[in-house]
Amino acid sequence: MISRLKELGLSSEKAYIHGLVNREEKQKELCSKVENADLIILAFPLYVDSLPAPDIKAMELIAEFRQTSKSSKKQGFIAIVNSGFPEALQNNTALEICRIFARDVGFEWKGGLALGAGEAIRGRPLEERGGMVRNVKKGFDIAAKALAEGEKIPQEAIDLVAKPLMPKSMYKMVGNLSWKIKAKKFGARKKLMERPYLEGA
Amino acid sequence: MKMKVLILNGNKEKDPEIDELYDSIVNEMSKRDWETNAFILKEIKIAPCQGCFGCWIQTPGECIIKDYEAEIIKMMVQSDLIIHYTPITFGGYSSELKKVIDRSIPVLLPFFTKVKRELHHKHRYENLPSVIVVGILSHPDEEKEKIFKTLVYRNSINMASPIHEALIHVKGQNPSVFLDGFNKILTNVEAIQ
Repeated sequence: MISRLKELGLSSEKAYIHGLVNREEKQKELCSKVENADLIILAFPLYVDSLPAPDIKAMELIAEFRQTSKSSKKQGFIAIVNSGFPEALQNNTALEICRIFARDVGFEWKGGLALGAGEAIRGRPLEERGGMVRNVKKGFDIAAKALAEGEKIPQEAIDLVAKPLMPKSMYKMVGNLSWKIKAKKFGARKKLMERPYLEGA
Repeated sequence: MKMKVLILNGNKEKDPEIDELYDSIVNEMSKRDWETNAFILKEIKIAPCQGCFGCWIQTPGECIIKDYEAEIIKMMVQSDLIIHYTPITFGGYSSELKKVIDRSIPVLLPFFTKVKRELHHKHRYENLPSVIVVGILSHPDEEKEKIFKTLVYRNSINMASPIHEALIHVKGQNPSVFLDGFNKILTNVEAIQ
């Protein structure tokens, strides 16, 4: 999304929330970065039906900060969420939380993009993932163009990004096999079903 | 056998009303003579989940970060009931509570299974605790209530708990109304043990 917005003439800055929510001076840095932006993009993986805890902490900090010193300019907010399950709809509650955050702190909610099957993309640029992500790429193109023009993310973009990357049965089969292959690298292939916290274990 | 309960309090701010309601919940456990472990999470240092999946593929069932979360997961597995207590934060859980929930995925297996036509993870353990999620709203907000209940419902699909309920208290409301509802759920939880 950042590279697309750049191509459309927007300058951007990327910040990793994980390193900005603990120490006080970093928290201030986070809040000032947010205050300086015209459009804030929050991108995160789905953690247990919602946002990862550090992202919620960032929202709490921003909300607290804006109670006392809120920028007077109009600021937009969007969220991009990626679930490890193949159904994009599993991200809906997390996007609703983002929408309410925007409402509460006075950002204009410009919409959310929800992707399923995150493990198939694995944090790499979409351009490297081939035909599988063609709809996602198309959706991002449409969303970036609208955002660059100050518009909300069109429904067409949301629908394209949410399209399944592959049949559910294939994702299940490949996914289940890949866990075994990954565990083998750690010598844990035969321990995958361990129950270390059973009473008496 | 005594019922075993784990209470996780994700409240961050000092607030007499929220603290009193929490005390009433803990007292209710004593009245019922249930074995209770209760934690105020802001007082415990727990690192956030790194999303490395080490708890599934490296040290299956255990997080690779060694801190107090390991004890909490052990209590989760060995409890009959988990009570989450949280201010409703933009419709969801507070970051303090969410940090513990994010780190609890070692109770799941990496493998996928179909639940209600969606993929979810299989469970590592057979006996799953019931869950009550208590959300505190600072003022009435229908949208937040709806999102919070949906979030608890979505969690219930993932966790497959025998009873998994959301209960909301709006500040300023009569706490006895909340406690009546809370006690009804406790009675249901006790009945299935």
